[in-house]
Amino acid sequence: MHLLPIIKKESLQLIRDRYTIILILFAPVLYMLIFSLTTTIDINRIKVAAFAPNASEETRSFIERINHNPLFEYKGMIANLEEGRNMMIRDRLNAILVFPSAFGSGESGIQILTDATNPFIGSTAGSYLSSALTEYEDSSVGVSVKMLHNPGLLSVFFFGPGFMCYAMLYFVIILVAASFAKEKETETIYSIVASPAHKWEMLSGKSIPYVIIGFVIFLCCFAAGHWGLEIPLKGRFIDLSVLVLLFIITTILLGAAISTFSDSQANAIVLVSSIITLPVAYFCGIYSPVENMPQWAQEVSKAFYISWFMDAFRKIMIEGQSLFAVWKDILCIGVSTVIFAFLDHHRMKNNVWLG
Amino acid sequence: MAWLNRFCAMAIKDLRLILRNRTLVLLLLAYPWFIICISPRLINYSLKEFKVVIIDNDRSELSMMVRQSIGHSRQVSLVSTCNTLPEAMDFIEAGKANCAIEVPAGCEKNLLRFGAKGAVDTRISVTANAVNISSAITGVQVVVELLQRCLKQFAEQSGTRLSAGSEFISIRNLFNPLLSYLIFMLPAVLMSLVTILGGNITGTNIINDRNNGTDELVNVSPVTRSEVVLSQTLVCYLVGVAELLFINLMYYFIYDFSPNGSALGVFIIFSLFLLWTILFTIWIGNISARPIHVILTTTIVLTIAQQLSGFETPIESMKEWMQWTTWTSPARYLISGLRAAYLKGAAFGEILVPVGALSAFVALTYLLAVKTYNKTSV
Repeated sequence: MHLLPIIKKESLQLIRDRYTIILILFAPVLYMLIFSLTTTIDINRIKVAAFAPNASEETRSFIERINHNPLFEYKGMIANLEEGRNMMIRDRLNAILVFPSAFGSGESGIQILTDATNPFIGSTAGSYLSSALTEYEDSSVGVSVKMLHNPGLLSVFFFGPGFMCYAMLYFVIILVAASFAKEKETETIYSIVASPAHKWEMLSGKSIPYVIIGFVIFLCCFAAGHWGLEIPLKGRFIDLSVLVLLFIITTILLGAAISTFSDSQANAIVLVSSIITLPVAYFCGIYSPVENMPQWAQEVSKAFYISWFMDAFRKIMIEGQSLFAVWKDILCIGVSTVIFAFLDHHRMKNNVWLG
Repeated sequence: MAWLNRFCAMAIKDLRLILRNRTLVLLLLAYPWFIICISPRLINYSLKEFKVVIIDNDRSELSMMVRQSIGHSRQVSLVSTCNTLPEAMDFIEAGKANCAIEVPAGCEKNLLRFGAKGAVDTRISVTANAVNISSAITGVQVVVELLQRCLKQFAEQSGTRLSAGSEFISIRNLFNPLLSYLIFMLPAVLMSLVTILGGNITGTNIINDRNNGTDELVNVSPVTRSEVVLSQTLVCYLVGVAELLFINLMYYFIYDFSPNGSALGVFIIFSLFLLWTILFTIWIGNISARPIHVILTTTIVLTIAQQLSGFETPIESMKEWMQWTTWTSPARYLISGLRAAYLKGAAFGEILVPVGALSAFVALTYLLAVKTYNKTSV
């Protein structure tokens, strides 16, 4: 068996590269934390100003409702709508309440002008302001609402698991693709090919250290997300770990496949980051929910194993489902694993990989 | 004009390096189409279709009215009718529905007797899956408004009094009246083009130079440090500007989308950010020990800068201390300037702050790139 010497050689190569060690330990967690903290649609304080040419008692009572509501930050009265527009251009205002001159006489109502550059904020600001200004601001008439799994409506519950996945995917695939491509670039691959090791031993020997690294990245990101960002784990950790291991193995096989198409580390990384990771991240429910995409994009996303992994990961972590409940997702990931394994075997078997 | 000859020779060399790399040429040809046609459509937090199940334990005229209202709604669709709440939860857990609406037994009777503020246990309850919070927030708002209209309509028919409505409030959406995410994302996805051009292409050129040993040939030539930096910058910059013009033409023909404000402002802001990205990559290339570290470091830093820009989710939604850190990211000024010029109709004079900030970043990074270029390095 020639597997162990190859694993040992690969591990020593990794450990002796200090830059790579730092990259593995810190960069994924940094990525995950920054992405999760910056990608958020939580409604904090909607910045509101009022325009009231003839401010009456009734106008002031409406403004007081806004001023005392913690959802809004009242920016004061503006002299004219042009001033409000200029403030919106400089991102200092989200909405303007316009009280017409005849307001209070029962003949004209309030107009809400929202900055809809960001449609989500625009529509939510309008809706929240409208609710705050009406008489039944404290509860919906005859209707009670309950939010499952995420009662506080925190963005991090959706984006956190997504960026954990992205961090694992990106760093594992880049390390693997660069590692295989480096062997070709430095022509040390010929010494391995000329050795008695089988091609599957070479592939496994080079991949196993990265399985361990990928799992370490997962543990670091999970710790940061669970204890740092308070993302809950409602399912079992063992279920999550099994799912992540399958994902890492599939990602490594994909990285090895990509490396067979590039002749240098630089090209491998460019291929991975520009052509693989970025488009895939958009299609797979990491940045934005798959169900919000156009129908054709939803069908395309089914072709990526990452979409199935994201679905299963969120179901186990946030919804508390078991591994057996997400068998369909695991089956789809398994199919991708087999496909990438065959692709690697074919490329290496016919020495196409050597270029 | 010896310096001009040297400069042109360097620029032609850099251009050839790009054109002879198949991966980079593929990137330059394919990526703009991804930006134009695909990526703006994928980032979407608006409500597409909110699937609901109904648990009708009342079987009254009110619950029939609720079903009919859902049936007529374009944003809400009725997936199934369930007998019990656990059955409805199975639909939600399986991903077949987003929300369950339960009309409890006695709801209509309670409403007729006590009005809106009746017993809580006979109120209509809405239970939604909030993992996808954008759909949950918007979908639940739509469902609650729909139910409130039903209740008011039923109350009017039966002569029961409810609270006053919000008929006297109107909402007008400025800059993006149709609340289109596509329009919101079109200016922002230009940033990913810059990241690819500035980061990956410049970085790959630097790596290839080092690997092939051609940087040593440059070091022994009479070319000065600033000429080397400027030639690398100019070539990638011209490629970037060509891509920008091409993408804007495609935006105009495909989406009928063009800057509402200053087109010059768009060009200048994009140029400044592109220059900063290229110079930053050159600086990292000068100080990195190994070529591969160039592209990794640049990609990581540029991605983080991109995240701090608010290109897909608003900066106001971040924690307050995080909002302060976004001022250190040049990408923030790019996004705010581009959106102001494209969507808000800002004139050039109204985007001087982002232009000034980006100019300062470019000047500082240029000095760092030139100072750290070492012709005597091994």
